[in-house]
Amino acid sequence: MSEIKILLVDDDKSIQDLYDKGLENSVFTKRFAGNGKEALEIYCAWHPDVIVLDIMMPVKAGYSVLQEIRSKRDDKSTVIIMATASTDSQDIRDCITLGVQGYIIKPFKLKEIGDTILHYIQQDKGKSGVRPPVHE
Amino acid sequence: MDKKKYIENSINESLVKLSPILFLMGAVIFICLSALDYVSTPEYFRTFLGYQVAISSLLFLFFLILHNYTFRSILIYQILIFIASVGSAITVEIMILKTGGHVSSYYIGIGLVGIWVISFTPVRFTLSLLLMLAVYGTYVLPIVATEKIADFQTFFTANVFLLALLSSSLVLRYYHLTSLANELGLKYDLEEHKIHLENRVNDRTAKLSDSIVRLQKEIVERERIELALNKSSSEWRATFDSTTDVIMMLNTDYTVIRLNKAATLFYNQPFKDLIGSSLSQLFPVDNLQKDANMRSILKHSVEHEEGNVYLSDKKVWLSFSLDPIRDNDGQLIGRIFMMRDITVRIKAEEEQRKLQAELLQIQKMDSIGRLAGGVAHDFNNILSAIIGFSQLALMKLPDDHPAIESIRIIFDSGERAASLTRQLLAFSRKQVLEMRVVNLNTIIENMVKMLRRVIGENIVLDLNLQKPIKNILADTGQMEQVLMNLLVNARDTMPSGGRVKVETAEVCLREENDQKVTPGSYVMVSVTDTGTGMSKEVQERMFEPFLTIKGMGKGTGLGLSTVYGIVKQHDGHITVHSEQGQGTTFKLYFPMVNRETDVINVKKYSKLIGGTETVLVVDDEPSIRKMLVQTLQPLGYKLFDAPSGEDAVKLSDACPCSIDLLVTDVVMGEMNGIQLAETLQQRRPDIKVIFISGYTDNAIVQQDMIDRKLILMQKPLIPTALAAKVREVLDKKNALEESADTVQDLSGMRILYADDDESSRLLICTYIEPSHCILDICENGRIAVDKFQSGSYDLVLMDMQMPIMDGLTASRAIRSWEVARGLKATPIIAVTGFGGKEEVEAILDAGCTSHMTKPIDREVLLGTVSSYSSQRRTIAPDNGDGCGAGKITVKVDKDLQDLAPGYLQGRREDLKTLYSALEKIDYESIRVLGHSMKGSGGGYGFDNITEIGKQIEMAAGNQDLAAMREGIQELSQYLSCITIIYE
Repeated sequence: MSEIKILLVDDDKSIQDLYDKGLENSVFTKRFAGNGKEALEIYCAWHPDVIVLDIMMPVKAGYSVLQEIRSKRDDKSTVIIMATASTDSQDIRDCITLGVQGYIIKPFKLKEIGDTILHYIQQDKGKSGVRPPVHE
Repeated sequence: MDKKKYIENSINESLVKLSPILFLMGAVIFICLSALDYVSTPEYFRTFLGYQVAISSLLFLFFLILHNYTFRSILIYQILIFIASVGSAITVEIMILKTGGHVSSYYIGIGLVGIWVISFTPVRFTLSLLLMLAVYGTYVLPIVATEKIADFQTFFTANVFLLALLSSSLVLRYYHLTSLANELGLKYDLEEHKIHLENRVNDRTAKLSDSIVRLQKEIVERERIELALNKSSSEWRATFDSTTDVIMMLNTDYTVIRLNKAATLFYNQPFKDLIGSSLSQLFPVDNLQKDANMRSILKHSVEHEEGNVYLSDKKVWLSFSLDPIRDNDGQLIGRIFMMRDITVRIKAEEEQRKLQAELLQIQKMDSIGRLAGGVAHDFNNILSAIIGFSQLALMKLPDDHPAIESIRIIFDSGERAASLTRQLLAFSRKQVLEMRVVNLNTIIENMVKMLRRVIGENIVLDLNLQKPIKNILADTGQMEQVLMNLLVNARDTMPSGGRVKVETAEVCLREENDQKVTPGSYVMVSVTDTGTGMSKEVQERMFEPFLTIKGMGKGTGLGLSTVYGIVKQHDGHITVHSEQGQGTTFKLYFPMVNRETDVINVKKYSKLIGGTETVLVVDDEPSIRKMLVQTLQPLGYKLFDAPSGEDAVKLSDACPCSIDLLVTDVVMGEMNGIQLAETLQQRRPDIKVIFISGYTDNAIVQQDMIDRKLILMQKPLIPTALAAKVREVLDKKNALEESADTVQDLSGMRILYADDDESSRLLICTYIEPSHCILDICENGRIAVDKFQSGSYDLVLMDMQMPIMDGLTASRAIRSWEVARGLKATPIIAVTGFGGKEEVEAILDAGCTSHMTKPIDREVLLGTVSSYSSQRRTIAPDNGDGCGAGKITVKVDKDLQDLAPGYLQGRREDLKTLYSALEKIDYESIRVLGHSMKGSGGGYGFDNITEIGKQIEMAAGNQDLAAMREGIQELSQYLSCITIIYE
């Protein structure tokens, strides 16, 4: 089972802790970023397969990170999942327009987070015709 | 030019043309004839040639002249001809004389000259004859004169031949002239004719072209007229149709031959159906039967007619007009019928008339009211003296004094006058009402006995009261007055007995057209009698004061107007239904209130109760002042009096003793009663005030006084009532005592209070003690923290500046102790002497809930404390750990065992940030924190934190301070009460 590099971006340390805990003992190799700027730096250096992006963050918000990756760097292959505590459907629609593979509504359940992220990755791979990594 | 002249001219013209040729030919012939001389007389040839050349030259000269010049005068031509003729004849004569005179054969030369001259020269006959004679003379006269006629025969022959020749020429000339004249005459005639013809042709042509031009002009004009006609026709049609007035053209039989759109709309029938109908069908004269004049107008109108009619079937008012149409001869050929719906205007006019009448009525009532009010003011002062002193006199005199009866009558009359004045004021709505929540049924029931007595025995009083009935806001005294007046009125309409019914009911009034009624719920009281009733005229004026139908001396005429005034002053309505002979029903409506009746503790003073307090009496009216003093002094009170506000203040300032009560008139010169009371209350906070008032124009001031619950007595004052009031007011607890009574009962609430300053401790103790809470006092922060940890408190009052441990440190210590134990945050109120921004920040940072600045205001302190008390109660009953029964157990995934406590700790940190943000009203920080909690709480299993976070975020988004505070409080509560079970 190949490892999946995942970058988890959230300004809230408690959320980062939850990601860390939730994705323990899984296929994921994790790295964390506390804001959009940091996230982009890690993205450039590390080339993660998956990015989980919080929408509301200081320094650089999730939207602009998403825009930068999709539009400026023209990277359509990295799986990007938005995490939001907002239930405003407009926010979610905006994300979809900008090209995300999925979104997570906060608060999420510790047990479900890993499966949710894998589900989005598989969905994306299915689309592009590549076998998704299988997670037991 | 006539014919003769024409002929002469023509001949002259030919002369002009011919003469140069004749001259030229003459010259040539003379030269040619020299050949003859050469043959017949060679000896003279040379001589004769000379002559001939000479005459030829002359003739040639003439030719040249005429060839080059044309002379206007014919005379010149004739003269030249004459000269040439005579010259030629002389030349020939000379030659005759040379060649033998009377026997010379050259005479024939003369003949030749004569033929040329006479025959060829176109001159008048007389001139030709003259020329002939001249030529002939030239021949014969020299011969006869110079010679002896030897050979007479020859000479004779020669003469005869010559004469014959000349005569022939002359005849020829004559003939030629005649034929020429004929020919020219004909030509002239022809010419004349031609000219005439041409003239006629021209004439005709000119006439023709004239008429063509005229025709063309006419065509253009016709086209123009046609266009204009079309235009004006369509304009007319449009105008005709655009007006909202109905217009119909009728022929002489009143049949509609044309109508406009408004007509079809008015009748709601198609155009074609209306055409041909008669006016009487469309405008039914039957409707106008009553108006014979109108009918005849419509039947026989030959002039402009107009009028207004009401069509009852259509329910409209119409204004119509009928105008004849006449042709050019003045013959009637039809009529124009126009009508306009004026219902709205008529209604508006009626409305306006009604309004005007109402306005007049209101103005009338108002001015009467003003007058009454003005009179009442002075009356009250006069009556105060009359009533007051008569009552005082009655009290002073022994019962068996002979003057007692007289004084009693004076007192009673004064009372009656006072009641009349009250009624005047009531009508003018200038009196001060003591509005309380009252029940009409109660008022009526209390009055029944008295009412029965008033109406007398032969009138039956029926009560029909709806029970229970809602309360109204009213002045009881005024209500009694109203009922009394209505019943007295009823009694007076039934001199020989009858029934009078008093009913009450709850009714809902809706807005009606003719009544100016505010829709809503009302309590209605009606008084119905079986009396004589009122006529329409009386009904219209019944609320006017001084109108009475009871006959002189029986009534004041104020009864109903007082009722009216009182009802209006109570925002009520009044309706009357009355029929003559049937009786009258008055219905009064008062706005309903959904409140309990005010409990009035009316202490009845059967006799005058006195006291020993000091009373200051102020009134600008000496008699009133005197009356007040004389009423109160005998009761044991210590009295001061002053004629004005300023004097009263001076007196108060000069007086070292206490003044317990101020009795003051409201309306006074410079400083009015209210100002005086305020001034004195500043200097003597305990002073109590009774205002007395006759009446003031300034109803707002009065209303304000009622609103402020100031004690107000109406003039005229009755000594007994005054004495009672004075006692009542003096017996009332002062404001501070009173409000102390209202302090919330905080019994059971435990308060920890730390302050190093003893006086402060004492003050706060006095403030808080009456609320029955348990107050624990200590001198510094150290002791406070110890006490807090050992005991349990609902509230901490913490002075900030204290020795050993200051308030900030103590607060922090308490908070961290609480957090360590997972306890909820106990409210800590910081008490500070300064309260600057930085200090407040530090206070909040230290975990204090709120702060208070010294000097501590009692109200503020008690308010704050009781607010925490209510919180304490709403949260949970206290069982010692600050959470009571509200302890919350949360199941958390054991995977999170190492994370969850830290998470909660983090939220507790957030709580402090939230509090400080709340203090700074920093919505954004609060929103962000709320949002973050919303996102994370549920993840750790603390769904409540997500919920609370959501609530806080939303409240901050809406900038709703109260909701934010509530959310934060809830969070604090949750965080302090939470227990985690891992599974």
